[in-house]
Amino acid sequence: MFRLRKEEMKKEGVVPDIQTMAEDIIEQAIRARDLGDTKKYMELKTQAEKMAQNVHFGQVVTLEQVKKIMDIAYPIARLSCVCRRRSRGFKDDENFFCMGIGVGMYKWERWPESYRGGVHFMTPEEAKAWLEQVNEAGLVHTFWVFGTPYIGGICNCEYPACIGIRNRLDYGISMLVKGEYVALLDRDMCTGCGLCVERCQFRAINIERTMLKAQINPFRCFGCGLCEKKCKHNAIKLVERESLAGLAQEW
Amino acid sequence: MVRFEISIDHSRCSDPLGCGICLKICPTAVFVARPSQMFKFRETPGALYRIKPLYASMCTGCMECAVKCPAGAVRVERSNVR
Repeated sequence: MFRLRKEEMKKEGVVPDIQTMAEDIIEQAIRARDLGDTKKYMELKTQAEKMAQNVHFGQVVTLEQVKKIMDIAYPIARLSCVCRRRSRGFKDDENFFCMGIGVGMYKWERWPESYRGGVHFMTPEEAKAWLEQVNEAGLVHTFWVFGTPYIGGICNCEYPACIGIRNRLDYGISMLVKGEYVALLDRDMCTGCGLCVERCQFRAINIERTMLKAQINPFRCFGCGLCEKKCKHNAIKLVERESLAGLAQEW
Repeated sequence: MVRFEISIDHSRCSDPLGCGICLKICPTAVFVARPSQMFKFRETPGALYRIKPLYASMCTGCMECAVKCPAGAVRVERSNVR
């Protein structure tokens, strides 16, 4: 794939024909769905998801999991987030919400004009401290592969600025898969304070007003663990998705 | 379902990333800014980005973008496609 792309990029100003990110297919799928062409939408959706699985897909991870990645990955750098630039017009110098890991970072350090805003290298300790801040702010950690199975990016996502969450929630295209965990609520411990509701980026939590208890829809839950971190009453527990028969296939 | 047809006059919208007002104010984030050209070993400059109403099916017709656009480049019309 890389070799093909290199050939394509040899001439200055040429628009590459190879769709590594399936962006054009997703765009056509969205258009087909908007126009009510369900058959075409399903075809394009399957094609885009297959391409994503081979080249560029993401998965939701918890803070603990992403810290483990920080221990084994090298080098680690902060990057300007391409989704927020695209969707919300963030300026590059105020847009360092994502992380890149692996040797690709050296390429961008060597040729800063090849990546907007450049890279800011971090030690694993700095990275962990920063990820804790980001978690406190309420962003969802995800990892992204660049050519399966190589993980090249850690993103901190939110709806609707992030393309993965947007395509998944609004258009049913699974470039982003759910995490290994799912949040379950202990209703005896829950006081209905509502702190968890504002933390959810996936519309999975609401408060049942008559019972004054939270309700988590496990089929919508992506298992990011943001609600669990904020709960003061320890009412939310993360359990492994595969330990629940009804959710084991819900990715 | 496409309720509104949104068109951008690219000759008026000269610096989409530098301005970005439509991207920021849209309540359902209908617009995206996309590079219109790619270059070897360097990023596309901001002036070559183009605004596109990719998620037009989520447009509510609030007209904020058409009113707030400093260049008057956004037009929102009722769509015939249903």
